[in-house]
Amino acid sequence: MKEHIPLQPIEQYLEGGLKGNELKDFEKSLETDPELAATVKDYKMAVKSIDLYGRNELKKRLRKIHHDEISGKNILVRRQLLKIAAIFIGFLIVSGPFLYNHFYGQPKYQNLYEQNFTIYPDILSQRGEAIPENLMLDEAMSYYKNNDFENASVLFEALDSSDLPIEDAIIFYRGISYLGEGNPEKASGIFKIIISDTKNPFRKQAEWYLALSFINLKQPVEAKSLLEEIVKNKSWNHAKAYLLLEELE
Amino acid sequence: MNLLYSDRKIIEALQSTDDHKTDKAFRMLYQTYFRMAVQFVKSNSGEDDDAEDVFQDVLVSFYQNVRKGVFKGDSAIKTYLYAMIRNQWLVKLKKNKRSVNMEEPERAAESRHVLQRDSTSGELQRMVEGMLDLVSERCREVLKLYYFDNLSMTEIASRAGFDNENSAKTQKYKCMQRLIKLMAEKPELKEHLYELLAADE
Repeated sequence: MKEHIPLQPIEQYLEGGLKGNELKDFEKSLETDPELAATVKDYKMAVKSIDLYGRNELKKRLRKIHHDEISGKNILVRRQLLKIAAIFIGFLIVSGPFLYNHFYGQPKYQNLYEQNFTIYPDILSQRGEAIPENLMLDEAMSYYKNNDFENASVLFEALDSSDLPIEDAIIFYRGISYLGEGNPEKASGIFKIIISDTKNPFRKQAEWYLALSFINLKQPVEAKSLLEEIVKNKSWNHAKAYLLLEELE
Repeated sequence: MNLLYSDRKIIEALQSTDDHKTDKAFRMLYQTYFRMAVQFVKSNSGEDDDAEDVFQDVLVSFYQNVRKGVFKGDSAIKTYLYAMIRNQWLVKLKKNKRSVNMEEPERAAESRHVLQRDSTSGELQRMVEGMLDLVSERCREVLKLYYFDNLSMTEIASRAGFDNENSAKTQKYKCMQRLIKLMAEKPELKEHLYELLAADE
């Protein structure tokens, strides 16, 4: 190994800084000078080692953050939950009869929502040639049909910005995915946009899902008003809307 | 694309030379997206520990992609991280030869999100640390700031307390020269590291 290794040109060469004749000369030297070739190889290994060292150092920091944000918090949360549970049980023993009388007969919004929420069928799988093959869309629909709404919504979000000729459908399925993953605020925003677009083919279906979003949000006044509209206009799912309206009354 | 306020903040923090700011960004990423990693990994034949590993590897690669300008916020961080988590986990599954009912890793490799290899192999980690132990702590820091964190020489000078950019540059060359010379003096260590790095390719 040479005593003084010419590192600057090696670095320039590896970082793409050599051009024209300088590059040609260097490449020629690499072919004829085995010591230079060996030094370039060593240089590459040193850079890779430093990169791995950096990765490992950063992972050490991340492990600490993981402990603070996830593991540590879980222990704290469990302790706090135990305390809260103890307090809650005491509270229930004292005030149970009163609470039962107060809430009995009130609509159970979560139950109503769960009884009525079903996904809208996959109409895209019967698509013709007008809709191009799209791996991400297939995967999103697969998650959607398996009720894995969190993964589905992420992919529908990504698809939304693409130029697929089925944008209306993607936004609609995205709204249902938000609702399914327990995010009725976001879902209702999407459904309101669909309803406001008079040319949107999913407008009527969106009314039903918006009503379900309102129920999930415990907003019975808005839900009733929308359900009454659905019944009155004999819109999509009007029979179910009628039954749901009765339950809410 | 308009960046979300929180996405912009995270990118800015990861581009900073201040460890407190980058730590804050990592905490925010943990709080927001770790659950997404757990859910994906666990619904595809993995466990909580796998999700932790995958998520940390993804954050390291994401950090480097931000610092090298590979990720500039052209898509939402959530979408980008999801793709990285998915690809990283597929690569790990392939390595472990575990069967899973999803698309083949070859197809995932077509994605534009290129992940760095997992560097958690214990032996490789020890070898790399052993090799870097050959140079001084200050040298390790300067080399890491340049090659891993992708800091400019001006930023390195400011962060490591050099008088100016040129002093930092000279020091970096000296450190690299020293590392390569020390490696040459330990041919067995060097050869073994070559083999491990090749296996990690």
